[in-house]
Amino acid sequence: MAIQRPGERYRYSRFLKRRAQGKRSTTVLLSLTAMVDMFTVLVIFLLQNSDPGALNFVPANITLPKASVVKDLKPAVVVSISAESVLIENESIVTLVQVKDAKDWVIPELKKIIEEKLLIAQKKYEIKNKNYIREAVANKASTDGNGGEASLNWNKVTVQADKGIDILTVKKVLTTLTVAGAREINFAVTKTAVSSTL
Amino acid sequence: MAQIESGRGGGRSKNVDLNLIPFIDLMSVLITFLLITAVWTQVSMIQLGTSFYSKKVEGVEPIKTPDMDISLRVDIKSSGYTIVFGQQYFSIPLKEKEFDTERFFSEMEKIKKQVPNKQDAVVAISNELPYEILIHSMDQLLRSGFPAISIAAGGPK
Repeated sequence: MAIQRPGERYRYSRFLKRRAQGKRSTTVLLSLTAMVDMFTVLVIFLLQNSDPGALNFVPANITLPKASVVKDLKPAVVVSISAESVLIENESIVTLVQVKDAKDWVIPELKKIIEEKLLIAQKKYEIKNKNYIREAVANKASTDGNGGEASLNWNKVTVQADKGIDILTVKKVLTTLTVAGAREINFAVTKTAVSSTL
Repeated sequence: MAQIESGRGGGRSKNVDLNLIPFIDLMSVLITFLLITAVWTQVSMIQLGTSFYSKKVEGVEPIKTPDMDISLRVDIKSSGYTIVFGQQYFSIPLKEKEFDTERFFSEMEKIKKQVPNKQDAVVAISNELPYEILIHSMDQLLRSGFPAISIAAGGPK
């Protein structure tokens, strides 16, 4: 059977279009519904992505190592080790050269500040604990497990070190933290799906 | 503007125009704020299971875990991993000049099958190695089911 060129479709004919359009209107209505829909979806997505648990700010010069089996960050004293210095809550305490040159594994400057920070944390814990007991007595009910667990460990320290830092420096910082009274030491990492081969 | 038509009734028009402009303004501000404050890299943590083996602190008892009497130590040197499990030794050399973390993980899994209740492991790492290797090794230990990890202050034997 021969293939023939399709004829004109009346639906799209110029004749019908001209009749239907008539006089052209000067008022243009902008349909905002689609835009509002898109905005709503975007806001929901961004709200879901916003992480209230992002407790610590990672300095730009620190590249955290990656790990797959991780836990959520808890509020704690944050000690950062960058290629230049050791920082506590983004305040430089001692330079890395000083740490490397030190023969003693306990860094006095760091120890002093960690002790102060842990003392503040302990005081906060005690105040919280007092209220906790009061609430428990007033309610005569079993206490909230999560709240109790959160307030039990006040001597927590999170170490966020650059992935290229030598282990000896990290060991010196860990020794100082242990001597200063830190009991729970956590390492900040970037969460990854599967740990890559080194 | 969006129109809501509520039918014809009476002389007065019941067409309601919903003013979307303030809504769009609010949305724009909210989106800008959320985009600026968005955290694109998720920072998490690895917990040092029991302790850092450097100094015994008075009044603090070490956490007891099952099968603690069976020693499990991981030595990390520049030449590779050495697992010391009881009387057994497993040596995992470097693979193409890189640490063979997958083989290390499979060996740790085999050990876990032998002692399913054991949770503790000691990591002894050479001082010159980068911190990243310690984290990767700890990650593999956690993956294989040893959450109570301790880091030895001294280097590997």
